Order: sequence, then C-alpha cells, then structure tokens
Amino acid sequence: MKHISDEILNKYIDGELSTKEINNINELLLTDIDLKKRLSALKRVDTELKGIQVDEVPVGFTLKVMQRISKKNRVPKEQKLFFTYIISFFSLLCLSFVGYLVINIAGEVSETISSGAEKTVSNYSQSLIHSLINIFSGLNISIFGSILSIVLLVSGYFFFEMSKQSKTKLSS
Amino acid sequence: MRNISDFDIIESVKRGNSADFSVLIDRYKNKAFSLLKRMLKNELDAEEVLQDCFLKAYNSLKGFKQESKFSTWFYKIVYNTALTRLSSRKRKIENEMSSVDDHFELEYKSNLNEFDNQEISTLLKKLISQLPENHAAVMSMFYLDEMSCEEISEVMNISVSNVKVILYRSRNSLKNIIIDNNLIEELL
Repeated sequence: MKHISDEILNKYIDGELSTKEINNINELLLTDIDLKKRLSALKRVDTELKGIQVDEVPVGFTLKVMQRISKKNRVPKEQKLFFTYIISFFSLLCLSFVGYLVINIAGEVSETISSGAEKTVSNYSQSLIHSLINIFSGLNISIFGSILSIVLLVSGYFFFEMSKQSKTKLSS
Repeated sequence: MRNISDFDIIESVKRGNSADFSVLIDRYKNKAFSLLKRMLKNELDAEEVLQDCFLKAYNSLKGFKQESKFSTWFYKIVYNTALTRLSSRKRKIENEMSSVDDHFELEYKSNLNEFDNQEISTLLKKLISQLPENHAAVMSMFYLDEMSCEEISEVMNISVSNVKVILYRSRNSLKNIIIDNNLIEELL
C-alpha cells in the first residue's frame, strides 16, 4: 500500500494538492484505517487552531500608548529649549570674558598710543570699554546676575527633568 | 473609522494628526498581543513589548514606503522586537535554518477514558501555548491573522518553504499527541 506522508496530508487539508492527488487520497481513505486516523487527527488540530480566540490587551492600552506618544513628542521641544538656554548661558559667559580681555588690552594700549589712526582705534576701544563698564556696573550688574541665575535655574530644572526621565526609561 | 484604510490613516498621521494613530492601535493591538503572548509566554512582557512596538511604528511611520501592507510591516516590528526581548532574556534564538532544524517534542500522557471531546479541545489549546517561539509565531500569524505563508516569510525573513515546514511540524506534533494518547477514538 502506498504510504501518504504527513506533509502530503498537511497539503491535503490546506487545499494545495491537485484534483488527481486528492482523488488518490480519497480512494486510499476508504481502505487505509491508519491514514484515516492520521488525517482525522490532523483535521481536528487544524479546526482547533482555527478556533483559537484572539487575546485581548488590558483595558486602557490604547490610552497608555497614546500618552507615551504625546510625551515623546513633547520631549524634543523641551530638549531644544534646554539647549537654547545652555547655549545662551555660555554665549553670555564668553561675551563677558571677551569684554574683560578688551578692557585689559585697551587699558594697556591706550597708554602707548599717540598717532592719529591709533587714537581713533583707541577712542573706539574706550567707548566700548565704557559701554561694557556701564553694562556691568551698578544696577545693571544685578539685572545681569538675575538673568544669569534664572538661566541657571531653568537649565538645572530641565537637566534634572531629563535625567529623571532617562532613569525612568532605564528602569522600565 | 472601520472603513478607512490603513494607508489613509497613515497619511493623516503623517500630516500631523497623531491622534489618528489610535485607530491603527485599536485595529492591530489584540492580534499582535496574541502573537507576543505566544512567543514570550508572559502576558506582562507581551504588553510592554507591544507598547514599544507601537511607539517604534509611530516613530518610523515617515519611513514607511507603503510598498507592503501596513500589517506586514508592523508584524515585522513586532516579531523582531519579540526576538530582541527573548535574546535579552538570554534565551536561545534560532536563525532560519536552526529554527527549521529545531526538534521539539510536545509531551502528554493521558488516561484514555479521561477525555471527552471538549477536553481534547482544551488539551490542544494548552499544548499550542507550549510551542517554541518561532512555531508559535507562525501558528499565530497563519491562524489568528490569517496571513499567507508568503506574508509570514516576509515578516520572519525566512523562505516560504521554511514557513510551511514550521507550520506542518507544529500541526504534526499536535496530531501525534492525539494519536499517541489514543484520543483518536473520540474523533472518529
């Protein structure tokens, strides 16, 4: 008797055999009890698999994902703001440093300058020095200090928020 | 919303209506969850991984070329993320050939008189959940998502014939349980 493999039986239930092959198996099924058993068992497995129920996600799943998406959308904006603050802070710091250097250099140069063109440069430098001195003197220095403190506080806030988020992400 | 195609929703999300993404989530969450649950064998892990998958899909939506169906593209993300999770658990991950060569054996010994038709059904469902990850993935995509072997091969990045080998092997192992335990008498 011709042996029908499990592979052919699988193809039989999937409808992947030709009419001739199907007829051949149908003929064998009339006499071959073992084949009938195997096919019957395979059909039952197929029926059970077709009847598997889809598992449902826990309640509120969609909301959770959408919240994570909107949170993720917010983060780049906050990061952008954070970096803007940091860059502004360092720009101000650099500006102050350059101003300080200009004051020192101009002070030294002004003593040695005597010619016309040099005098003009010296005058410009002097005016620059005066404006910088005005900015960093009296009430202005307090305003500058306040702005610097605010920038530092905001940067600190965003820095801690970001590190908190990273920690949460890592722990999850 | 039911009649709107996946492509229309994706276009809307790309235009900035991110809330529309929830329609896609509702459309695929349960089937993808079933796949992950069978692969990871853990409900909590499956939920967590599924959330990550939807986030990945959302973030990569601009790169989705619409050359394939959204479902195929999304299941690729789901399947690969599940494999990554399994590998992070230091489980053995098989590539295409080893998954096909993977010889697993479902075991069950029973008393012949113990089962009625309903109990055979319960037993089979229990055994299905014990299938190895790749086999569970194929079975889930084939039966729950009604995906073709071609689509499954695209998701799993293996050949169509290997998908069929996995499918037949899974069915045969379940069939052998029925025959070995003489449960066939109940069926005939």
